[in-house]
Amino acid sequence: MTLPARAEVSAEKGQKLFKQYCASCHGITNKMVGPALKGITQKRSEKWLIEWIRNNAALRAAGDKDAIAIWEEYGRNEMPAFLSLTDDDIRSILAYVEQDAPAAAAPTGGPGAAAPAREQPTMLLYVIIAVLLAIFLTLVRANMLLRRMTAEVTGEPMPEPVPWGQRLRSPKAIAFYSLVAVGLLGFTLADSAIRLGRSKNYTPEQPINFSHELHAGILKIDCRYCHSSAEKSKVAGIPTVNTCMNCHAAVQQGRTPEGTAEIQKIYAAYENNRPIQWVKIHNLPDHVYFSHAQHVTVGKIACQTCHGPVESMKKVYQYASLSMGWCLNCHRQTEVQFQDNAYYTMFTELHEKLKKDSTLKVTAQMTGGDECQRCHY
Amino acid sequence: MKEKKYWKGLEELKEDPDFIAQRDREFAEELPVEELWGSGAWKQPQSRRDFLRLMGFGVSAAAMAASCRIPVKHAIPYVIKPEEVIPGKALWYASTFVDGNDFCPVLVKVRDGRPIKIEPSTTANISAQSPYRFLFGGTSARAQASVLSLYDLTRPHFPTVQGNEVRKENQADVEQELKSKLQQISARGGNIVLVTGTILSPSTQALIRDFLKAFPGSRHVIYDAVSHAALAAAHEKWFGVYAAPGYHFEQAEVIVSLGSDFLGTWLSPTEFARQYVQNRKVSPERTQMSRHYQFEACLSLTGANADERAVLKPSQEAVAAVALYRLLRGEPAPSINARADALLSRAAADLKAHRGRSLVVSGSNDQAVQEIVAAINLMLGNYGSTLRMDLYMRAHQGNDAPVETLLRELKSGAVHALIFYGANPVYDHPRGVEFAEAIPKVELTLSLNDRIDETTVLCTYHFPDHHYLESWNDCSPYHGLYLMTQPVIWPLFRTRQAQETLMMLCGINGDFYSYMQRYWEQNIFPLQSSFTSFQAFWDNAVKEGAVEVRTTAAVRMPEAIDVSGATEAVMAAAQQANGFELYLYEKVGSGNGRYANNPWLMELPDPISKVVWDNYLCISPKLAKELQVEMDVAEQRSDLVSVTLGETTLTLPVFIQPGQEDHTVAVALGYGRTHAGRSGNNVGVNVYPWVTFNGQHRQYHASGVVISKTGKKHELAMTQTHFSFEGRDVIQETTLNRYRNNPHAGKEKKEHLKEIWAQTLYPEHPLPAIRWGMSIDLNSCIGCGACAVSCQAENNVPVVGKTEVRRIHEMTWLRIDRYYSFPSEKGFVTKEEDYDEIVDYQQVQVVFQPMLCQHCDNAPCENVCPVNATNHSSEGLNQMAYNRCIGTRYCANNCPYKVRRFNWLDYTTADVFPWNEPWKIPTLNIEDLQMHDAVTRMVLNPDVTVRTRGVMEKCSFCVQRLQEAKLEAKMQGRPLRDGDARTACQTACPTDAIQFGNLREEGSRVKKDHEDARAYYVLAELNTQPGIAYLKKVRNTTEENISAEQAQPAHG
Repeated sequence: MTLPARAEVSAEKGQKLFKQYCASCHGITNKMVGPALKGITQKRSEKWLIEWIRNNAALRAAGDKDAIAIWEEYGRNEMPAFLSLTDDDIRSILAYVEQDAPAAAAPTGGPGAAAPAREQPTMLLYVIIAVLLAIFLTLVRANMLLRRMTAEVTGEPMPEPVPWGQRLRSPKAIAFYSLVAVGLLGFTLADSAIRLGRSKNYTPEQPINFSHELHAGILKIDCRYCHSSAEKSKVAGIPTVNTCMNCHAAVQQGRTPEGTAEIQKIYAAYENNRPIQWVKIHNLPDHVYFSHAQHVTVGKIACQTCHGPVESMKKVYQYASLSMGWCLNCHRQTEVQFQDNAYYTMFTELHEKLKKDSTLKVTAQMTGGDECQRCHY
Repeated sequence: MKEKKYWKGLEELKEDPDFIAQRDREFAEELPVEELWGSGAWKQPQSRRDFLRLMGFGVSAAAMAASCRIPVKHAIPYVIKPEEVIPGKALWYASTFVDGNDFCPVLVKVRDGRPIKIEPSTTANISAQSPYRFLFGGTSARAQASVLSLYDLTRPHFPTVQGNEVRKENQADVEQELKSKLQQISARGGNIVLVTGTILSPSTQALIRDFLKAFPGSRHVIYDAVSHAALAAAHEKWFGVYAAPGYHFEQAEVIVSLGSDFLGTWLSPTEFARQYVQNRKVSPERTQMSRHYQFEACLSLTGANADERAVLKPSQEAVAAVALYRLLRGEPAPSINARADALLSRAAADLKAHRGRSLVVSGSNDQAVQEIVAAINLMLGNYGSTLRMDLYMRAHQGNDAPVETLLRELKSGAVHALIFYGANPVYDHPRGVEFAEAIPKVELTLSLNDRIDETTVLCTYHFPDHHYLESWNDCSPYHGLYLMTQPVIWPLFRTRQAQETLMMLCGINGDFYSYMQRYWEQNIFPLQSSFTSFQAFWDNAVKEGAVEVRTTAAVRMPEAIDVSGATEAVMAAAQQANGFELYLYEKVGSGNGRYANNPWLMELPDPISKVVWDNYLCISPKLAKELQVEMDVAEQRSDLVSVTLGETTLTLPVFIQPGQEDHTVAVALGYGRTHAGRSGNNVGVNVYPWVTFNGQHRQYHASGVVISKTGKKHELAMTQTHFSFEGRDVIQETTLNRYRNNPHAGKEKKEHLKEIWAQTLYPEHPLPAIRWGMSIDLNSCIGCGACAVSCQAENNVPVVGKTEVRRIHEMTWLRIDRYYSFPSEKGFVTKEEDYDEIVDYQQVQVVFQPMLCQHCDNAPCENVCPVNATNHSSEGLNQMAYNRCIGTRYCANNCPYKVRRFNWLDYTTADVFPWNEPWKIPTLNIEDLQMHDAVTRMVLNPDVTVRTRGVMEKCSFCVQRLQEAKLEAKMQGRPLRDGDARTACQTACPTDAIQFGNLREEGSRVKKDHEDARAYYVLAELNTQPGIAYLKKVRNTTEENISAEQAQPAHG
């Protein structure tokens, strides 16, 4: 049975209502406090459902056998009455329940997606190189032709053309190859050395297959709810098990059986008093001091600036290179909260300048943000 | 006019050619280039194949390193997070450092569950008028270093029976067995003796009373390693309380010390130092200063700070007390020596003029002397102002005679059970050998000591005590003051608080925490009125760490003290002294031997001799000449002599010490431990056997010493002339009279330099908001070394061990330079003259100068770094980027202050390559290092990088603290306030000699100091434009002896 689409009935509206009224006890595909709702419209008539949802106690009082049976089955747990819901509201909820996927946003991220949009400039570079090479070869050819023509005119003897095979094996050519090889090797070596210890796109397996996409993206839980020390401390903090339990004491069912199994790991940790050993993704070298509080609370930088679109990551990966150049670039460009924070009043000369030129941007660099001992000590 | 010459050692004074050659060398030792050339390794023709082979190896090694996987790191959060914990943020707990007789209220910095730093306590519970206020706000080097002892792996890990581990499952049985044995002994009327050090904890005292009640026939013997019993006994005789008085140096305008090192080691030195400087700080508003006379045999930290000092033999200290007493009464005084006699009469006149505002103290452990000193103070009306018997001291309760009785009983087999708690007589009693023989014969022996020390190894049972950072405890150092110790970390090893073992033995249930709470509820809570509920009172006490109860003890104040008997005894004893005399002292860092296993304290240079990791026989230069013994500073070794006193002959290296009485030799106690732990064992010589007993109390001096040369040499690690200024003019001082007449005296010197300062090729550094700066008041600095240890703890500065120190490889960021000079009455001497002929080395004067990176605006080090690893910040910091440093050491060579330190070896074991591990390096004694195991590494400050081999380092002005202070201000959205940023050396300083702040901030304390009339910059003539100003030392002498400021500038 498919529900006819009516003006007042929409799965979209149903999703909102479902979250508001139903989600704390019902899953769509999973049993929670109440039964899973997938396929409910096939099982029961729309009329019955509307009556049940609006006031199940009344339905039971009226002696509806099905209603009483369900009530018994679920341990006589009282489902509240929703007298404020209109028929269309309820129909919307049912429409939402019957949709196939639980309305997840299409995954936008993934390790590959984070690869920077640097390809275009690289392509352009290749094109330019090709064009230059073509011009160079044409000019060489033209030059040779011209020389031959002058030789013909002046009657000078033309040197015997050396065969290409011999030319390619000449000492000059070998020297050239060696030079190129050394250059390439050197570049590769230096480049790999610079990359040593960098781990952009690092996506380790975590002990719990935790989805930021679900928690931060769909459920829109603020980053700082779980990573609460980001505002106060140098470290953002991995949520402790009791933080997870704040919600998961009630939310015991995942959207999928796998999800439920993952949630079980929280309970296991909680009951056995064993901490969860998360794999650290963002690792800075020991000689770097980084403070989240400075960036989050003082600088008012969004988490995504450095961590990328975490709200769309099923599995978190390292978004930024975390290289020193990357840090410094940002420090050179980012404005500090210069006017709003009384701390900066002591930068008297900068304030004077700002008075004269209101377009002046005070960057972190201008307050010393690019100096060695801001991060290395 | 000739300039006053300052020198660190005799070799520098005399410009010994060997020393000069060594000083001028770039490296302490020749680099092994010649060796390599000589070995022929370089002469062999290098074939192309060799080259290719090496290349190939290099490339493949690099490839392998590059293809290594990055190790997986884990982030492990709590299961249930304690509410107050924020990962990465420090928590601070009020507590009290107590170790034997040392006590200091502290704040403990705990990062992620690990205590990492000790800071002085600041509590609202102690008012600005409190008589105890000077106990707060400063720390000692020992308190600073105590955090390292916590992580000492040689602490016992479990209880033992006859040296075998008592497993957890058997522990209850063993305890039961022990308990029933003890009960049996008690039941049959056996003799049970509990030997402890001084118990400062009132709850523990109550518990011991319970214990004595539970075991009839038991008794308590209090034994202190270094005894001050005579002081307590003298006061018991005349005031009725067996205790030392509470001293108040802040009230004293004239201080006379007869051999008492009250700034270094006597009773409560940190507190006394803080009191003492209250009257020593001068400013344009306050041109008053106390005058301090010191009479002593060897140069102590206190003597080094005195305005007037005279040397005398140890036996004459008592005569000096008699002389002072008689002079004050206008009677003829016995003569000692010309200088001492003159000074004594001047001191007597000064004392007379300052009745009730003066103080006479004596370090003697002879009751007669202490009675005479008490009589003097009583005569001067000082009791009630500078000495308070109504607020008497509770430390140093030990008595000497009962210990002798115990030993007699032990030898006769009259003791059946012996329990030790905080006492180690086998090591530190003069007849320790006899204790060692007698202890194993006792039926039941139990040790509750926190170490497996010399006494503990002889005991059958050992239930090790916690470290103080793991325990609940209380401490009442003075009548009316209660301090709290709280645990800040879960016990690292299977130890148990000694009190809980005692509770177990006498069948008291529960833990010591509840026992203590009961005690406080019944005994301390009723004494106060601020809180009506006990819980609120208790919570406040734990939070603040201190409770002051305004009660005064009832003591009888004698009308006068009759000293006729005492005088006779003293004079008779002094007559008997003959030959060379011996003086035994404690070191400011390592103390009585309790801290022998703390590498921070062992590597802290002695404030006077600047020697580390050793004790030695201090002799005067004149005596050295007489005995024909030598000390070679360039080679860092000296002659070994054999010293005989009574039946004990010990072999010691000599150390030639100016300022010492010519016929007195001095040695430090507390060395030569055999069971201290991995770094303290067999360091130096145990000289406790030389302590004598006069029938009443143990004496720390003796006469009739015989010294003979052995012809052997001993290697000493002497840091006194490491990092020499090569005779450049770095010290300025004046006298109080001159200062009063012209506070700006010497200012011209700076004015004329300003012209030079303007002439620089380098652009000025922009300073948009902050110029961090420091000021160090040489008048307040007493040279105690608390700052140096604090710096070491804060900045992860490694310990390098004796061998490395001898190679001038010590890593300390902050050193305290100690300079000698001669007073003016001997005239100014120049290098052409033969010093031995014209000067009296006994009469040297001392100036201490803490030396650290000056953070120059025109820094010589910055310009020479080829990789820009050291450069200038916009806050005036001379920054050091370790991971950029390639170790050319150009910067160190170009630094005129010699404050840069190079990691010659992998002292921190930060290097992961096994072939670089320090234990493979023959010159590194791994036992000396403190950062080489996972447990000890827990002491590291996680906010400071651990430096590895081949990297230069130096003082950073505690940049991590500056960043933290700035962040705190930014987060609160407020301007930075003066005092927000405090460096580790500044906070540790008990005398507030160091000030720190923003030089660009109007009205900041440090700016005021920089503009002070006394401020000067070291080596200002080099146009380095330092960020540290030193405030000239002012001596309150009666003689005019300074000419440095009148003299022409040396480089003008």
